[in-house]
Amino acid sequence: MNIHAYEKLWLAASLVLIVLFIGSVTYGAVGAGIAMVDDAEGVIDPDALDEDDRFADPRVEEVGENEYEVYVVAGQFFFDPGTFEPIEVPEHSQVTFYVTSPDVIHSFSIPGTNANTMVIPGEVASMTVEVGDPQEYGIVCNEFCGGGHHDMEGEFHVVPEDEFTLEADE
Amino acid sequence: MRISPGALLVLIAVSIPFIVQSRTVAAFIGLDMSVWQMIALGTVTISAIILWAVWPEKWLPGRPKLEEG
Amino acid sequence: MTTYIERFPAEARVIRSTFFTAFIALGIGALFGLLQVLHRTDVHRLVDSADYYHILTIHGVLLALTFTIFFLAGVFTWGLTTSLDRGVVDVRFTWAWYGLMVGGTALAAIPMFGGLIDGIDMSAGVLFTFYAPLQAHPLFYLGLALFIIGTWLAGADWIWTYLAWRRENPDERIPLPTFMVLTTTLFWYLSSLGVAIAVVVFLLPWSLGLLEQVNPLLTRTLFWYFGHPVVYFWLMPTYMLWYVLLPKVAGGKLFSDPLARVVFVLFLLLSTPTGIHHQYLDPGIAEGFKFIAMTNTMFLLLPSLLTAFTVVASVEHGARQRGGTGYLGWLGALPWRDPVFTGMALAGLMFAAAGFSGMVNAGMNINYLVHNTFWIVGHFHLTVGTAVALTFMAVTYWLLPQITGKPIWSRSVGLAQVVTWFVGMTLMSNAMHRGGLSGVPRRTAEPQYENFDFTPAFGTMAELDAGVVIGGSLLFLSAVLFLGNVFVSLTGGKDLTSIPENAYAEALSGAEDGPLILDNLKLWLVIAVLLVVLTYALPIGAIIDRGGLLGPGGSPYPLVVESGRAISIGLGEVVA
Ligand code: HEM
Ligand SMILES: [Cu+2]
Ligand SMILES: [Cu+2]
Repeated sequence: MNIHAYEKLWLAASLVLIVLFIGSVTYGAVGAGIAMVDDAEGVIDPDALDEDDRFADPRVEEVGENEYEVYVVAGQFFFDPGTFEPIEVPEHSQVTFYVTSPDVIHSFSIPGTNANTMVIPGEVASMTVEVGDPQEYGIVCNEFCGGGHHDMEGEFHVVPEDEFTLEADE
Repeated sequence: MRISPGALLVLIAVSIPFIVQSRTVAAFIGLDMSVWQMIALGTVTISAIILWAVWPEKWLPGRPKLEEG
Repeated sequence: MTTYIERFPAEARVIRSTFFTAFIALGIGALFGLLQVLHRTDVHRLVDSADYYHILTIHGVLLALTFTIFFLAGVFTWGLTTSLDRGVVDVRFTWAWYGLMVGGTALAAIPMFGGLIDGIDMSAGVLFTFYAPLQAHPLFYLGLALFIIGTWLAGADWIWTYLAWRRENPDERIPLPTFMVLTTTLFWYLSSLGVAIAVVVFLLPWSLGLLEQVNPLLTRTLFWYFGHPVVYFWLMPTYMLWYVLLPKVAGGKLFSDPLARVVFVLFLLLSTPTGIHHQYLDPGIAEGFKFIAMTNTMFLLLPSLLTAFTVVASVEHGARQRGGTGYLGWLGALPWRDPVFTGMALAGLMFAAAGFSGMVNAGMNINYLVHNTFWIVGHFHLTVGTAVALTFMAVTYWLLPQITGKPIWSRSVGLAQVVTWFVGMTLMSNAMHRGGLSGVPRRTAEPQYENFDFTPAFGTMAELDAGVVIGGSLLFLSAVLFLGNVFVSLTGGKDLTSIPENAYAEALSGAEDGPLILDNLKLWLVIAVLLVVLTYALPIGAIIDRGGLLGPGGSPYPLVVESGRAISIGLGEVVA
């Protein structure tokens, strides 16, 4: 097969480009330490969330200095917590969300940020984010989940240190 | 005409994504371009293209034709 | 000079039917596209927001599956018979697969449209991805299964015809278009297996009540096993047209036949083991598997990059044959007045832009920002919605006369049509991409929320809405121009003398320059299967191992609404 010289050049350049892409994504994913949503959490019975101590009482919990865990149930068509009362965490902390669904597939997404995960019944999505200065964010479901999908929203508030209280302490 | 009417139409069409993206580029380098400014820029660009296209190739009588690249 | 209809009148009839079915789907789909645009931006809401999803289901299914696949089935039949210079073995079989595909589509359409009509107690508002536990009426799954089996029979028809030709011509190289049809068919068998299993083994029995529940992650993974490759099922016929027809209408020859074969072999090998890249954000799938999918996806860039080179080189050759000169001056010598050429060229140009946004999607980490946002919709309206759809429309201006014997009513309207599509898509897609970056979700009837607003990086939301509405309206107008032109052409009389000969581009470097191993389709198929097994055995095994074959549960929606449980968790309203 005779390949034109320009074509060989193009082929080589294409391969270099592909390797560069893979390299940069690998660096972004591994090097810069953005944890992917993965299979770290075990499966859960979506019909028995009230028997699971994380999701029977969905909440924000302090687990270490400036470290918080948030357990969220995403169901048709609400986030609990999030929809009925905002999820609140103090500024400059590390927050890990655990989200699961009792019914269909949803998402838990904070628009304009890369905090974004699918929520699949039977699975628990976990995602850690670092929050900065106080700010109010929205939460949306961006996976179609039924006729009320567009009503499924919530709020996530990063509040000043001195305004923060845990539900449990109130 | 320097180019065929068909080519002119396509050239104008193809300029539109560039005009639309000029705002993205402007925002990228920190310039704020409003929609109206973009539309003005687009009008100027497209007029320039049309003018270039319909301008007679031998634009001064008696002058030798410019070497076309 | 012979046209296709003179040489193959029986096949021409089938191709006409596949095209007309495709065009009906395009018409309804485009109308619903316009409704979606107006609904989302709150310019005009014809239906309740809860019904928006029925509209969107129909738009997705009719355009992404019906329009594209019916059209490409016609194109493949044309390419195969033309290049083998031989009719199909038995045209009754050809009608059989066409009939099965139509029957399947009609069955699936009943609940899809039923959801929009009060009083019909059937619905399929599950969108074209039909993720369980969202549940559609059994007819939807049944129709889908029949449609897919129809496409398999179409593939069998092409292989059968090829084998008959092979017996008559034992020593010849496979002609290029036939080679492309065959590689695509093999690839389609391999990749559509996933969705067939999901539908036939799990979803259909489950919708009939024979299975109590399914594993949502498993059926979703099986869907994407097919859901990404299906993109190549649209693209490979598009590429075929760019390789064999575009150089011809440009007045030149294909640059290299062997490289075109390499490209199609690469597609056969690499297209399927990539689907997990749609699941970067899914819990329950290990990061390693996502990583493998990402790498495969990146390598899948190669055949597209090679295509870009060959196609541009072939077009340039055409231009120089037509007397074009200079570094860029040759561009002026191309037949820009011809909607066939211009439509395909603009489609190719948009595809290049789509390649850019596609790279963002494929990067696992950046993907977090755009996953399921309007950005994605902007992206695939450039790929399937333009690279594929605009190519198909443009090529209609060439193929329709071939299969009907009737010239196109107005080539100028055709030119206006393809240019309008390009401009409309520029505006709509740009606004969608930008909206997505600021977090606007896709698949949402009302992307206006109570608790927060989206703030674009620059400009305003109102402006983005305007972009979507103006762009979407231009696209709809373009579709109307297209269908109108086709319709008026059909009402006209036959005029065989004004129609060019049925032929495709010859190659500067022909098949004889390529090594024989390229044509060893069995070998490539075996490697393709191996690659799929390597990438999918472990993740699918892991998913079944975790959740069980029938899954950890989740109740079907909306057929069975267990409102009691949802309320106990703290929700006041359950929308049934
Ligand atoms: C008149 C032209 C068109 C318009 C105005 C249009 C508009 C839209 C809009 C606004 C959406 C997003 C809706 C949402 O996410 O809420 C959408 C989705 C979609 N469009 Fe189009 N579109 C057009 C043509 C096409 C074509 C030609 C194709 C493919 C051949 C196509 C394939 C799709 C698909 C697959 C979806 C996704 C459906 C889903 O999310 O389930 N569209 N379209
Ligand atoms: Cu939801
Ligand atoms: Cu939702």
